[in-house]
Amino acid sequence: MNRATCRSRTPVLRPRPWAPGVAGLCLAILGAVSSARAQAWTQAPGHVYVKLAYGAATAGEQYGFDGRAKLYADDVYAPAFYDRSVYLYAEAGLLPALSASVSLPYKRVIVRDSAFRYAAGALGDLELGLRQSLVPLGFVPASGALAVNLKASLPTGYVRNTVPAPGAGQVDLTGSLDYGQGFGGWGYGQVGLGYRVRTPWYGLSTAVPCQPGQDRGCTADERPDHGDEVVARAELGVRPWGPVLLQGMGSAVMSVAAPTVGFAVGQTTPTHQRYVKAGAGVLVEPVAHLGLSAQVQVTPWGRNTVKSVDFFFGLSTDFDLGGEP
Amino acid sequence: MTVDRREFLRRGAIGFLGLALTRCGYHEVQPLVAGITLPFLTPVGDYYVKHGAEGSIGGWRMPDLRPEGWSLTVDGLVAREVTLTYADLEALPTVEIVKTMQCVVDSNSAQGLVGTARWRGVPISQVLALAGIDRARARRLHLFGADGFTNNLPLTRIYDLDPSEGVVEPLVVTHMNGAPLTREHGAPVRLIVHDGFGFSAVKWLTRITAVADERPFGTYQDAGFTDEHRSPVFSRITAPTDNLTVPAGRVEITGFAASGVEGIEAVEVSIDDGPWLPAALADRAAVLARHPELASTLQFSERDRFVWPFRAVWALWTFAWDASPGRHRVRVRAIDRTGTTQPDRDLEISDGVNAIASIRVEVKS
Repeated sequence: MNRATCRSRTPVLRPRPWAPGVAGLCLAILGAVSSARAQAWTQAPGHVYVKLAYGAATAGEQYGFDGRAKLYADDVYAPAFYDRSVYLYAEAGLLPALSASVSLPYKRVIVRDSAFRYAAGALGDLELGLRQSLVPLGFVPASGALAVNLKASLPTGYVRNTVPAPGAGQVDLTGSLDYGQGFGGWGYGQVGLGYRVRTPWYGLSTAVPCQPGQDRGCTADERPDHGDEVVARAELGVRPWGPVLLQGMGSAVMSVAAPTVGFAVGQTTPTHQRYVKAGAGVLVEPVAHLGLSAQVQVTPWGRNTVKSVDFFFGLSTDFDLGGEP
Repeated sequence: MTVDRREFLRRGAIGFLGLALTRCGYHEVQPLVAGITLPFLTPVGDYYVKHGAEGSIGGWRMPDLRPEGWSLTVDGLVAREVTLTYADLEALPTVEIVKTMQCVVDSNSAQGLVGTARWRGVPISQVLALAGIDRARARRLHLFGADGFTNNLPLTRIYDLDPSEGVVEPLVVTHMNGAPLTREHGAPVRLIVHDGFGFSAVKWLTRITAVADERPFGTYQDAGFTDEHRSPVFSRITAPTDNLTVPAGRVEITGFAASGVEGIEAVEVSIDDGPWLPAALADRAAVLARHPELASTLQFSERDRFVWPFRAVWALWTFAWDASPGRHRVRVRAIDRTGTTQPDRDLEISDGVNAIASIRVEVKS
């Protein structure tokens, strides 16, 4: 299939689904489920989209619980938080209006204070998702898409109580409603609103009791009470030229309860946080079934979160499955 | 592009299971410095700053008080409520002590939240005398900082002290290391509790209320921390740092130890779970020679009353180790003059107790 025939099959520009981590690498580190993009459209039955993404988030500052920006680590007047992670993401159409997705990141997190550099690497949250399109219900406008997304985030690889912990270690469940609108052949827009239940289920994480005097910063198998969050996202894509798609995006995560307790170098998973991310990206498709993407996002506002700048680079492809189902 | 469904599912499942089973995790801690050089007195600019209310009171702001606008109210179970100005406080006699302050948060988790300084202030009993504390009914003082931070102080910690035990009553402090307090350290007036943790030393002190209530009270207590203000015995290794690689041969291990309950009797080091061997404690005369300004402090000036090493003041120590190639475990423990030492384990972060400190050292030939 060449690009011309591909476009003829999809006259309304549809955004490519992005790997979940692409939307907010450091946010996943902080315990938040990453907010996937293009969540209003489902895949055609038997169609598979796969993406490999690399993310680099860096911060020298954090937002305190009262919103004031301050050094990420006391006395460190340089970047002190680094997240360098790889994400593998796949999405497949199961039925005409139902898609499933799976994501598995490998997280590498590095923080430092004035005396030590702490690094941890581990498999991150396994994310399993289902997307049910509501278009068949009939009330969605032409060129529009509406879908319900359900996602479970499973901390299968985490060792939570190391410093830094590459995740919060508990199961998250997220439900969202996403609406997308295609603008002829030149662009699309999408908004979504959801709610994330941060459960007290820690059974899947590989948390271990600390070894006193040996594990720096590890004092016990702590199971903090992470608060539920409201998640919102918006995205706009414009295709000025055939193989090039320009994107602008914003997202917000707001803990229902206000952040009251700050976080420190050794506690990169605050129980309550609020933040806004804004960014821009470009997707280039030099040949059919190959996408190259780059994004940058900043954190212009936050409460109890990392004030990071995030870069993401992705390589994606898509194909149809043949043979017997 | 079309891919065989069965083959895709088979390879995908194998790949995913491989990733999941690999669990290729790692955890590293690398020192950025070879060791921490500790002078006996910590310069004000290097002294740790931790605001107890910052993490727990919404909208917290660091107070910016000037001496001319500051006042301290003493009320509650008193004969007469009084409000002191800074000039009133300056008119009262002062004393200066040397004290090591540490954060109650387990130092294994909060490295560096410790320091030693000279503190000059008015003994709190003189301030309370102006108001006339109702000793028959009052049991505790509730202490209030201008930033909203609160704490309490049992009156027994003021009026029932035994002078022979080397402890000084709490001070209403205006000066640190000979200079007026800086804003970060509680200017213009803070409390210093000689044998207490950092959270006992309420900054930007503006109100003292005498109460009959004997229950725990304060910002940290509300957060689950201990209401026991005296810091128990603890010790740390400052050099080499954890996971450092050093050449074989003589390695000087250094650190400090302190106790708010009594002075330090001994510090002992164990290599690879071997016998506990004594470390050498810093000599009083050598410390005084390096910091002659310490001569004005109560502990150094009243030699008969205060036994070296002083209570609530760190004892710096060294241990000469003949290091052989390999990976070694170095542990340190301190014993105070009550015979108390550190526990092998302590999983509670909020009790102020610190387990025996341990580091790993790689020795290369």
